[in-house]
Amino acid sequence: MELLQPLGLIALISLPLIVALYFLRQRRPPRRVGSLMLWQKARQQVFRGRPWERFRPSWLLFLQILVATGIALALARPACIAPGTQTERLVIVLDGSASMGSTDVAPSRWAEAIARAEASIASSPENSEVALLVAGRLTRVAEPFTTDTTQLHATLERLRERGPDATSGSVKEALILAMQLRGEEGGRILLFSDGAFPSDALPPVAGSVDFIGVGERDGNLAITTFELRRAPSQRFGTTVVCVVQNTGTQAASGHLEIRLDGRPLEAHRVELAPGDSRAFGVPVASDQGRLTAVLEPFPAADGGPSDTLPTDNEAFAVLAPDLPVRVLLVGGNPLTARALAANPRLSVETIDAGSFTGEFTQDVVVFENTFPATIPQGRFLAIAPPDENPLVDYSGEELTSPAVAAWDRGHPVLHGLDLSGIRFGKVRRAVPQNNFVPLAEFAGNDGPVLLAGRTPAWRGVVLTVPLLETDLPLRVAFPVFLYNAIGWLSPGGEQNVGRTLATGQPLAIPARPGDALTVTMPGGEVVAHTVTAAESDGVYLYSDTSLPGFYDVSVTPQAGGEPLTFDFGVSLVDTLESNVAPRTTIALPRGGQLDAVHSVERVDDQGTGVLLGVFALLAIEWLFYLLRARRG
Amino acid sequence: MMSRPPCPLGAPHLRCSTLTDETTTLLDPRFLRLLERISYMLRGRIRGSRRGERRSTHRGQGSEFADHRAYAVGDDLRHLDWHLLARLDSLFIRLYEEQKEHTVHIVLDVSASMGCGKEDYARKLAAALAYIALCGTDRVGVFAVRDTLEGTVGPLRSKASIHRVFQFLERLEFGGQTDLDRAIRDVARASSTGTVVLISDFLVPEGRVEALRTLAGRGFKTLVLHVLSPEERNPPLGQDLTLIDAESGEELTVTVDRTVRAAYLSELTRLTSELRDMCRNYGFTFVEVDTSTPLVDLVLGDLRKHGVVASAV
Repeated sequence: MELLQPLGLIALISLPLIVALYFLRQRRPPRRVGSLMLWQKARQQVFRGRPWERFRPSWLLFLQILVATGIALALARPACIAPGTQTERLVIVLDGSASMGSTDVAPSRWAEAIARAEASIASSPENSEVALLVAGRLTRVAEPFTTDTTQLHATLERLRERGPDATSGSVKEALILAMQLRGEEGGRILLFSDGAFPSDALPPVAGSVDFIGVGERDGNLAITTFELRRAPSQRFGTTVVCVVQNTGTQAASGHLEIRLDGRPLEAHRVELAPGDSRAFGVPVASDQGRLTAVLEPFPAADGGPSDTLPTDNEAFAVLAPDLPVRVLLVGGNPLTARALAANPRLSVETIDAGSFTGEFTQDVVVFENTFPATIPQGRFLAIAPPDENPLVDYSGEELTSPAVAAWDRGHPVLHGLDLSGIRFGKVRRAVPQNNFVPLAEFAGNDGPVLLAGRTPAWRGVVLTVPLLETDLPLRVAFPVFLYNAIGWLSPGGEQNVGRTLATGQPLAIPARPGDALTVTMPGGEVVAHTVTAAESDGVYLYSDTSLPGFYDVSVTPQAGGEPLTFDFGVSLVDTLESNVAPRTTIALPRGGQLDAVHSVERVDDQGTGVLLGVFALLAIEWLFYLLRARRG
Repeated sequence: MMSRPPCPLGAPHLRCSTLTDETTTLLDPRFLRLLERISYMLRGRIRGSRRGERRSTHRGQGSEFADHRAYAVGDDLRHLDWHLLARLDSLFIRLYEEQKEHTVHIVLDVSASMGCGKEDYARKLAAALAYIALCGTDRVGVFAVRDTLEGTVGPLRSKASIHRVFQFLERLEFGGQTDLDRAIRDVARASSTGTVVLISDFLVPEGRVEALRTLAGRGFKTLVLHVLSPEERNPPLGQDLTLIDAESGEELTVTVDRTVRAAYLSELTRLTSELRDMCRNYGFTFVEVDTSTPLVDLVLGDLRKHGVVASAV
């Protein structure tokens, strides 16, 4: 029994008032007597100057106290709290993020959440409609609205066996979807989660969602960073950067070992205070191999587990030479060819403009003074395209010695470049077409000099100025520009050195439409897929990286030839997910919040019953009064 | 010569027994006829000045022989006992017991405290006692007192004078505060010897003792009638009241539960005992009067039992 409005108990202050009124001398009917002499002496004898009357037990007082207590209790709205729900329409949202794999509750938070979800379904009214959503890497409807509890339990059992994703969750998207599913018909949304997700930009779901908190402890020692870094000056070798963090509230220690192809490279004893982290840099002379970081936490000082999330105790990366970027130079002049050849990562093939058929297998095509009538599917760099081209419109006036006034220094194509000193001769004013946006512009609103654009089918960079009308090819900036542009255009060009990803992060695979793709997952599961035109602009984004470990990829070109094979490592390196402290509240927009409860509860308000009792008491009091009045 | 009070029936010379049938509503005529056969019992001899029918302490001319004494020059020779002279050859004078007139002073407390439901009973009681006295050839004076002597009638003689007593009593207004000590001293100054019948509730914080002491000091034979109403003798339980003092106007809230009533009765008993003890010490007769007791029962019962009156029946 709980009180829904405890402030209603303030009415209990009427009790002492009632009793005080009963004790205070009341105004009584006057009666004239001969003398007060005897009465005064009698009162002195009895009361000895007390201001209060002696308490006289009275049924009326007893009933009045009962009625006042009853009214106060009714105002406080007593309620019986029982497990279960009152609504017949439930949307159950299971947080399927990595932190739900914590083992602080046996066997895991995920299993506990599923058990509680089953209990909620079991305690809901008969023929309740229940929908199941899982907020993992993606939000998925595990079970649409159904009244079939057998089906629901089977689905939950499958989810229990599958486990949570080793990625960050999508609780926000799942709540939005749950609100939409609930629709206007109403119902309750039950969120089973440990609260370890970013609460910003959550929909305003206060009052609609019950947050059933899962988890008890917060101890966790985690690998939060595992990267391969190569300094520009470092011609040979790579440095492995591994950061270990104690996200718990107690000191933790463990053993960290970094291995290359299973052989230990370095081992450290890690002792961290609560919240502290420590970074390790391990130089690796080899240029290929599989790197693994393994963290073995020691038991906590109190004998309990110091680490509740095993998923983030391992990290994976593949050390391999960068994949060669195949470049087709169409109609390029010697300056361009020489600048491209300066990049050892590129494999350049040069053909005349007339030889280009529109079909190519290279990763990037560089067009100079030529361009097809339509934009080809794939990646390209266009230098001074001709008058008739789909990229820019040259119908504007001719410019003489314009100067670059502004450029986007944050774009990867212009990384490390200074365009302010470049001189230009006679150029034509260009107007961008087809999704291209300026990266660098001439002063005086004289149009762009450099453009970049992307669609699902292509990605391109356009230099609007002929190389003969500028001193750019003579500057150091030119090969740097080509290096940046090819890097941005090539598959995987935006990735770090080495092949390592965080769980849930998509992998860019150089695959063209029609290519056969095979991905072998860490557990041995093989995913085969044929790339469609809608999925590739020369690069296919493989997104199912929710399992940590090594992935093997094989791409067989449709046009034939040697299949491209490579591997990469996926790790859970997410500070937010590794912070497994169960949250008791989730902040919501506009000052709202969700408070964690252990289980969904049904509130049976007993206020009406208490009020009826009060009325019954009043009736008894009235009867009592009548009897007294009749007795005289 | 004193004028006789007018007869309400226009027949001033009617016999008294006839008058009592019609002249007053104060007392029932049948009760008056009953009272005519009752007389005061006097203990001892009185010390009167006028001749009357009551035996007195005086020796002189009378009808009943009392004693002899030696002859002295100047004695009336008519009282010389010739038989003794012949036998003893000595001169002795025969002494006779003189009969004197007795006066009953009825002192009625007319303060406000007596006006609380006891006034009618007190009037009737005073009237009855006056009528008994007048029928018994005693003289009667009625005094109304509160903080001083408020009014008086008499002394009157003969039953025919009862009109004036009745009129006096009927016109009395009860009110004001009580000062028994002062009032009794006034009464004592205004009256000669005789019997004082003091009718009061004695609900005064002071002056009770002094009043009785004054009466005793002046040699009055005194009958003290302590008049209380039934509510005063035994207040009912369970009342939540604001009591207002009839004399001072003072208020007192009280809940009459068993404890309070017991304390009240204890105080009442203490007051009554005090009065009774004083009366015993002074040789007074003390009678508790409850206004719920019928007057006839009081007169023929309690007063006769205490030897105040005697019935001729």
